[in-house]
Amino acid sequence: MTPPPLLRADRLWRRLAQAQDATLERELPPAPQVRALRRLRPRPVAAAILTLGAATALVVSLVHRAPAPLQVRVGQGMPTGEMDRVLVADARSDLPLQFSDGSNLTFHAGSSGRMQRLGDDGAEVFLGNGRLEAHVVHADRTLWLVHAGPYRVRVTGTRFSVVWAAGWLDVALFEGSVMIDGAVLGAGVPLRAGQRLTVDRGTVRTEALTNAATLIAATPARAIAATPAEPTVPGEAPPAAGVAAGAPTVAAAGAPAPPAPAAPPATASAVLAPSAGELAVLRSRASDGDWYTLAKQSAYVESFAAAKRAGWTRLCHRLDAHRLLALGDVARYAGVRGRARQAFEALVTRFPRSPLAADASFSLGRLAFEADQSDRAARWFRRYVADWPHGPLADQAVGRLVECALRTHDAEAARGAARAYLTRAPGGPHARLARQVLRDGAGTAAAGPNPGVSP
Amino acid sequence: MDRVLRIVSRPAPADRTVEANDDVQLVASLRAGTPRATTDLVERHGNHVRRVLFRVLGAEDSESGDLFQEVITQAWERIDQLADPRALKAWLTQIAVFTARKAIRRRRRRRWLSFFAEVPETTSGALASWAGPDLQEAARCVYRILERIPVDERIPFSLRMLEDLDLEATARACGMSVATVRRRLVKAERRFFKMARQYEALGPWLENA
Repeated sequence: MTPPPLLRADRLWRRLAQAQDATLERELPPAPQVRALRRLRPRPVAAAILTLGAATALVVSLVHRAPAPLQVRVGQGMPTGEMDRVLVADARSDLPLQFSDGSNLTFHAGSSGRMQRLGDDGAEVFLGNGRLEAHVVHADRTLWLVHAGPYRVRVTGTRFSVVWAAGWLDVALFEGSVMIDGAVLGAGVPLRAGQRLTVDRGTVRTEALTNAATLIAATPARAIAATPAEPTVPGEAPPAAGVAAGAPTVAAAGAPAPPAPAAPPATASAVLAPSAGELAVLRSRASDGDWYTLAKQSAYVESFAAAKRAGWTRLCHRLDAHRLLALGDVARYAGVRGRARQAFEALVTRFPRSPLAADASFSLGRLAFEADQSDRAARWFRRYVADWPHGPLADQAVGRLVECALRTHDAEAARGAARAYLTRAPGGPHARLARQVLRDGAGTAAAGPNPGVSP
Repeated sequence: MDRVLRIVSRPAPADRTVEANDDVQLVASLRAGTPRATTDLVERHGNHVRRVLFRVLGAEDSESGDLFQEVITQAWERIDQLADPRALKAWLTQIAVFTARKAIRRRRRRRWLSFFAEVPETTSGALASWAGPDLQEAARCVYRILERIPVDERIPFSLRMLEDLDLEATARACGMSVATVRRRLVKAERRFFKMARQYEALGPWLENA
């Protein structure tokens, strides 16, 4: 029997709780904070181990080196780490910002803003006026913020667009999730993929994105813009040789949106939201073969319905690679993952050598990852890396493999993938996580290379 | 689907009704995607969630704002999993505890066997206006000690001592049986006071049992 504690600290608990409550009362409702700067604190164990030898210290110092801050290329300029820079897109062309971690932001024609912060974990951008599209590469510890007037969009790996003009905020979220806070949104409103939030004169609205045709900006460039000439018979596959030859490989999630019409702030809503009449016409015209037309109009729900009427399985058996990719994206944006999987799998099966099969493989991995099927996701990501080791998404696929292995608590696979990732992209968005995996796992399992990952 | 979340300029009667609703109605509103339900959730239970995070992690933890958002987002996403809407507050407590536990474990994993510990920057002086220097220093010592106590003992101990939850409520919040919580509390208390003796700043606060 253990003797009871000999000490008490009731007064301390009481005073501490009171102080915390007072702090709580004093503070405003918390908004997502910019991740605080971190400091390094030496641990007692470190000193002991450091004495073991300079060689160990050298290895560790390499493992612990700080990740490089992000660099950004503005337009056609040279990559730079310059902050607090004014960004203005001229009236007729977009201003793209390409970040060293693979993320990209695009200020649409006529829009302006400012780069407020560039860190090793993300960036902070101020949208002064106009429209901004973003694709932020997913990583565990990224922190991206987009300020629009009094509002703030906190992003952790996603694809979305923000419009800020004359007090009107419009956020359309195509992938991932964000938290938007500030002004009338108070402590924050979470937004999920496929949703749109608008704030206009104090009125906050959320609506499903799929019906709103706001996806002009979200139209998957790889699926729609990269489409070659129309086949003779709509919906039928042209000869396979033509498919492979004309297929540019574009980063699935990282592809910038196709040039959208310039959106002057005053008319932004008109550009973003076609009239109900237009949609009605589209719907009424939707015959079995029109799913692709509807997809190009970003009417994904209608497109999906039309494709189903045409016979989803039949389409999967007959469409060419480009349309199959578009078909998968239609299902994905309509929120029907099973059908999306079917289309992407058809592409991978029927056109295994097409560059678009790489995109489909990555999409299949991402679908499984989003559905918490880490094993299945890892298989697709491994396949991507094995079959397209120099593909545009290969680094991201290896990074995802690290995350898959962590989710399944497979230390050995995590270390193998982490090592492969650091070999490929030592400054990439998953580099920090990969180093963490190698460091934390040092004492656990004997690390072996992951056979599925091409270093 | 078009949903109005909040009318600021001209509050609709429905908004006032929602504000007056109890947790059952709030849950129903959240499930139905009713406008303003999320902000109602934050307004009604936000302080409670933050208090739980404060108790477990300390008021000076710079991550608590992010974790608060995580709790609210999780609650919003999983509201359909709440079996008894009347237990909304207890359910939120569980999510907050789970989120804090995850954060503590994540930090510990990062520190394990590392030569340098990467710790979140504390919001130094968070208690400054409300507590004297002696209490501030004691608070830092308390959370420094708590960091060295196993997480499954630390959390019930924090909730019991600082939030003054009874055994049953502590057990519910931590997803443990009462017997387990009792056992862990004894262990945590023993560890805490053993280490507390090493901190000079805690001396004036310790009393003989």
